[in-house]
Amino acid sequence: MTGGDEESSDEALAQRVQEGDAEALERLVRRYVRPVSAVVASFLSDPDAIEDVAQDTFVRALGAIDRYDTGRPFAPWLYQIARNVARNHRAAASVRHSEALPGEGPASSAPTPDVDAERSELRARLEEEIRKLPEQRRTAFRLTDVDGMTAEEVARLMGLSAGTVRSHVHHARRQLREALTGHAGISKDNGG
Amino acid sequence: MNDVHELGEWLPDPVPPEDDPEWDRRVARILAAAEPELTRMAGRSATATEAWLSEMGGWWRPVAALAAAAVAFLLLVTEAPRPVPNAPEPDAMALTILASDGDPTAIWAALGVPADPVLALLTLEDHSTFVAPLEGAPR
Repeated sequence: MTGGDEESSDEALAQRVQEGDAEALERLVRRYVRPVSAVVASFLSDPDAIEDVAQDTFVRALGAIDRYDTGRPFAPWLYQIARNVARNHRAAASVRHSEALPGEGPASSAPTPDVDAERSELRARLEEEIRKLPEQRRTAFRLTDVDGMTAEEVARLMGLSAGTVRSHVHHARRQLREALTGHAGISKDNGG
Repeated sequence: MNDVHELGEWLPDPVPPEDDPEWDRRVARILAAAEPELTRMAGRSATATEAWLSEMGGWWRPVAALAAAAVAFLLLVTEAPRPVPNAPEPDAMALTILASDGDPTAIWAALGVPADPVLALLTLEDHSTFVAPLEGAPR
């Protein structure tokens, strides 16, 4: 996820997309499909929904490309679209879910042996706690600690400074640790 | 980072790594979904270009005429003043008068005045009749 030289910078490619250049669009999609999917995954957990919403993000971005100001960074603009589309999708899915399956949560799963059940429960609990994190904190945590992006890459995408991203990640880790203390394998005195 | 390593086992699944062929499939899917919009944009861009060329076609003649008039006006205004034709150099005038050997036409020509030979002679003679009394010496 780099801007590259002037000709292949995000902004130059976006300008070419504004003129209907298919090759420029493909280069931008290849460059951002993974970061956008990771951002969407910080809102949604279903892999199919993540893929659909990531695709929808690019289609909507293309539809709005005329309104994109090429004098401004492209990545945060795309990031805003991704989070809006993901939020809308989550809100719509939440309504559908509450109407169809009241009371069912992510922790409910098929019966498993004791150890697996414990791991499964902890994982579900962790996902639940991650969903409770404030949005930027959650996205920064997801992109760095789950998807392995550097703080600089995340900062560029989210339009923040690298220091702010590190701060978000630090607070997210602490919040998760506090929420999960007492569960198997997570002790209170090990925190960073 | 201890807490992250500790949590790592239970973290959500990451998206596939960057070099995973899965991304090729997803990119192809996204581009297929984007194709109608891209086609519409390309068509709109071509229409805009044609309209611009058509507009230019209607305007190029008056614009070219206006530009030519502007250039001509500039040339007229900035042209250097022309020297007076046949005007003798100041130093050369005395020599020319001497070289005229009393020919009235040549004398006037040395002053830059084309003259009729008879009128030139009369003018010189009239000048002598007026100048002599003033000097008080009969000739």
